[in-house]
Formats: sequence, structure tokens, C-alpha cells
Amino acid sequence: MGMRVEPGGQTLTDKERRRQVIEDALLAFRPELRETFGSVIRRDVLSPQDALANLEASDVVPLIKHRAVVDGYLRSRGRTRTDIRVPVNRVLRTTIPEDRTIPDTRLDDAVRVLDELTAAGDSRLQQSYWVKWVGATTDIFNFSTAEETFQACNDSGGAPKLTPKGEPTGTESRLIVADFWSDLPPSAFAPYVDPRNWPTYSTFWEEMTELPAGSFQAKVDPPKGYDCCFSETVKIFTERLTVPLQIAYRELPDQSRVWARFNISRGHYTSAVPVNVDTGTVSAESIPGGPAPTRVRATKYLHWSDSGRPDLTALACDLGWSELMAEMIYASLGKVPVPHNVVAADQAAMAGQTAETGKTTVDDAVGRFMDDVMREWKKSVNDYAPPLNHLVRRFTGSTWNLRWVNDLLDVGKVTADHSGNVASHVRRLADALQRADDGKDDDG
Amino acid sequence: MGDEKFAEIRPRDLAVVWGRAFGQLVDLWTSGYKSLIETGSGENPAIGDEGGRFVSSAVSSAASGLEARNMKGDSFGEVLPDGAVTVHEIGPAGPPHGPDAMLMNCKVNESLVWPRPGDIYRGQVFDAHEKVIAEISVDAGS
Repeated sequence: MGMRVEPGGQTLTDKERRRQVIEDALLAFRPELRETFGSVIRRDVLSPQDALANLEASDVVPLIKHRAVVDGYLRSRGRTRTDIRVPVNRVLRTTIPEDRTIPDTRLDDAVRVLDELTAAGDSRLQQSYWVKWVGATTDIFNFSTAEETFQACNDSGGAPKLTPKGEPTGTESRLIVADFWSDLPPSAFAPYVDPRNWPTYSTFWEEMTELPAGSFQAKVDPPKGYDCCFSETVKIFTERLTVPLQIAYRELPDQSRVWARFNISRGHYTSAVPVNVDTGTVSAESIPGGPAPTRVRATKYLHWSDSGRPDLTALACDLGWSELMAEMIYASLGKVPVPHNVVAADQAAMAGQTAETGKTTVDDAVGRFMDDVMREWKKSVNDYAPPLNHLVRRFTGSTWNLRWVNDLLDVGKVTADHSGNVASHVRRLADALQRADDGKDDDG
Repeated sequence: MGDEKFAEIRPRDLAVVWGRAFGQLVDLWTSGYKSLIETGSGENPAIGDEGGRFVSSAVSSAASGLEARNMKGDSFGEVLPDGAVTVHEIGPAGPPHGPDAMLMNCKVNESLVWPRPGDIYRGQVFDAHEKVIAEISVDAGS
């Protein structure tokens, strides 16, 4: 783990440094947070230019950089906005995929897209703005499906949850939701859904330690997984928040859903715990009809109980929760180092899968086939629109236009193309079934 | 009608003819689709989201007779007592759903969930005729 000496002589690990860069980028554009959380920030708040320069130099994942830049730009006003155009441009340049050569002028265009977003009026990042940003700049940044569909965080909702002692909290618990869609299967996210690995790839999680009476229990009957109690420690600014959690990690036999459920462990709960509600689910699940085959989602209800400290649950969404999900995207794509214990767990899981040869392979093949056909179907509906539009216009025109025949042929071509693709999927399914059958024969 | 006269006819002059033919095709497709939906609705109730919301065209104003039952936690396997989840009508679902479709919401009575653990609880919504009209899931407990 790398160490670095800060200007004040303080030594920070790479992970701490990365966390501070994200926090600073938030604080630089949100003066109201300095007022509320001054007692726990306890360091100088950087100017927007300095915060962006640190963001540029950091290895914070591109999605977090983009969201910090868009949100910061929308929140800035007047001269500040003018002054950060160049730093914003520099941060964005660090997020361009290495295999792409993008001229400066195109990157200037991207910054102009931010100006268009600010004209819409709302001075913070909204989901509709993210969609517009991605749509207007994906030729530069080559966003993945997961990046495109990323949503975080909607923390405006709430619910009246009870404390670990079964008492009302008085006010609603804050509901935090973040999600994205992925082309990878749910099993690809298993290592990252597993809470034991959160400290390995999230900068905000410090520890997930098995409690002395945690009684780790592997669950062998379906759905497989484990039950255990952990002490979770998250760091935000200078504060360490430690919460005892009861965790249930599960994987459905057909791997169509993997999830982790967490609640405050009632047996380990004391008045020293800063929250009295901390419950939710992190899951990766096959869901037909979405923009991609798999939805990865994290929901969490939080209620702050420590009246002696400012309510840090108000920052959980902007800091830890969305960063955890963003890191999950890059980890699943192999763009950040995979933790050793995760590799071991993966290998063990794969070994288990090989042992079950036939059934798992056939289930996977059928699942893949259905995903492919559904995707093909959705795409074909879009592809039919232009020739059908032309066809109807030519038919309803005031004069003869024999080119409607061409439109009809185009419609036929779309049908032929998509039928051909579906036929390929059918052939692939048939091959997979054949292989599974061969495997069974070989086994005996 | 001579060949020359026929050549002068524009497609839209024959709109009644091809429109009716096309209309019949659309009617056929629509009927097929509707029967598929109706057949499906007999076997596959509406699917709710994890917030406990679902859309149903089978409830109209009889929401007061709806009950959520068989609510079982998918992580810990605990079962909620009847009445822990109640179903309420929010209002018309709006497009792309039909005019009869209503948006429904499930509310959790947390005091009835206690001391069961927080979990995603899945179950069914039954109408007054004991017919399952929706498969729902809610986040309940803590």
C-alpha cells in the first residue's frame, strides 16, 4: 500500500488520499456542508480549482470524476464557473479511454455541454442531466452500459423503521438507492456484492471484521451463501462510524440473483452505535426488459441516533454508497485490481460449478439465449421505426411515390437481419446443449 | 375499369381498401395480443417492484378488498403475519397502461413485522374473490 506525505506533514495511504480527494471535490462546491460538518471535517476546504486539480491527479474511477465535475459545474456561479473551465477540461481528459485520441476542441465541446445543462436551471446533478451528459459525450468517453445507466443517489424518500430494540425512531429513516444495469451476468458481481470485500475496493470502508460471537455459518442448502455478524467501520472526513451488522449473503442456484442483506445486529447493538437503523440489500439480478440483462442495486435505510455529532447519514449517499457502486462497475470489468480473497472465492465457486457440469451449463445457456433473444427483439422494434415511418408517409402522400417498395424491402431486411441473428442465438444454444450432453456422456 | 384508369388511382384513393385490410390485420393482432394478455393474467399476476408498487387492471375501485399474504423473507425465510403489509390504491397508472390500470402501493406496518429481521419479503396480493392479482416484494423490518 502506497504512502504519501501531505503538505501539513500528515502521512496518508493511497486509499485515504483517494477518499479525501472525493470529499474535497464535494466540499469545494457545497459551502453549506462546511457549516454543518465543520466539526468533523477538521481540515482546510480547498478552492474548486485545487479540488479539481487533485481530482485530475488522482486514480479515482472515471464515473466518480464525471459526476463530481458535472455536479460541481452545475453548482458553481459567475466567475467561479469561468475559472474552473480549464481544470474541468483537464479532469475530463484523464477519463478518456487510452485507445482514443480526442482533439482539444472536442473536449471543449464537452465543457460547453455543461453550459447547456446549467441553462436548464437546476443547480445540482439530476438523473436527467446525467442522461443528457452521457448522450452528448459518449463518443469521447465511450461510456459502458453500467456507466450510462448509473443512478445515484435518490435519498429523498424515507420509511418509519424501528430501532434494534423495536422502538420507533421518531423521524423517518433515510432511504438511499443507487443502481445500474450491466451486460455481465449477476454472478460476475458476486465478489463485490459480498460485504466482506467492500473494504478492499471502496475507499470509504475501512473494515469488515467478524465479531467475536459472529458465528460464521456457511449455508449449503439453496440458496447458498453464509450468515455472519461483522463489525463494519466506515470513515467519512475524520469520523469513524462503526456499526455491528448481521449479514446474510445468498446466491440462487441458477445464479440469476446474488444478494447480501444487512441489518444492525441486535445482539451486538449498544448506545455507542451512531445509527439506530442501518438495513438494506445489495443485489445483482437478471431482470428481463431492462436496458441490459442484469440490474445491480443497493438500497439502504439509515437513521442517525448520535445527537452529539452532526448527522453523517446525510452524506452517505454522496460519499460511500455511490462510490461503492461505482467501484463495483470497474472491478467487474477488470479495470481495478481484484482482491486476492475474491480471486480465491471465484476459483472455489468455479470449481463448484464444474462439478455440477451438465445442469449449470444448460441453465446458463438457456438464460443467455433468452437474454440474447430479448435484446434482439427490443433492438428490432427500434430498427423498424425508420422504414415504417417512410412507408406510411409515402402511402399517405398526395402523389404516387413508387419508392414505397424500397421501404417495404427495408422492413423486410430488418426482419431478415434480426431473424438471422436469432437463428445464430438458436445455433449457439443448440451447440451449448450438445456440449452439455457430451459432458454428461464423458462423465459416464 | 381500364388499365389506364387503374394506373391513375393513387394509394390513398384506395385507402378504404388497404386501410380495411390493414385494420383487419391490426384487429387480429390486437385480439391475439389481448387474449394473450388475458390468458397470461390468469396465470401470471402483475409483478411489483421492490418498493411494493404494482399496476393492475383487475382491481378498479375494489382496493379495500385487497390483501397481501404469504409474505416470506428471501434471506432469512421468516413469514410476516397477515396485516403487516396493506395494499392501497394510488390512482390511475397512466400511459403506457390502459385506462383501467391502477397504480397500487403496499405499506408496511413495522410494528407487526417486529421482531422479524429486515429483509425483502415476497408474497401475493389477493382480491375479494381469492384470486391472486399481483406478486409483490417489500423491504420490511430492520
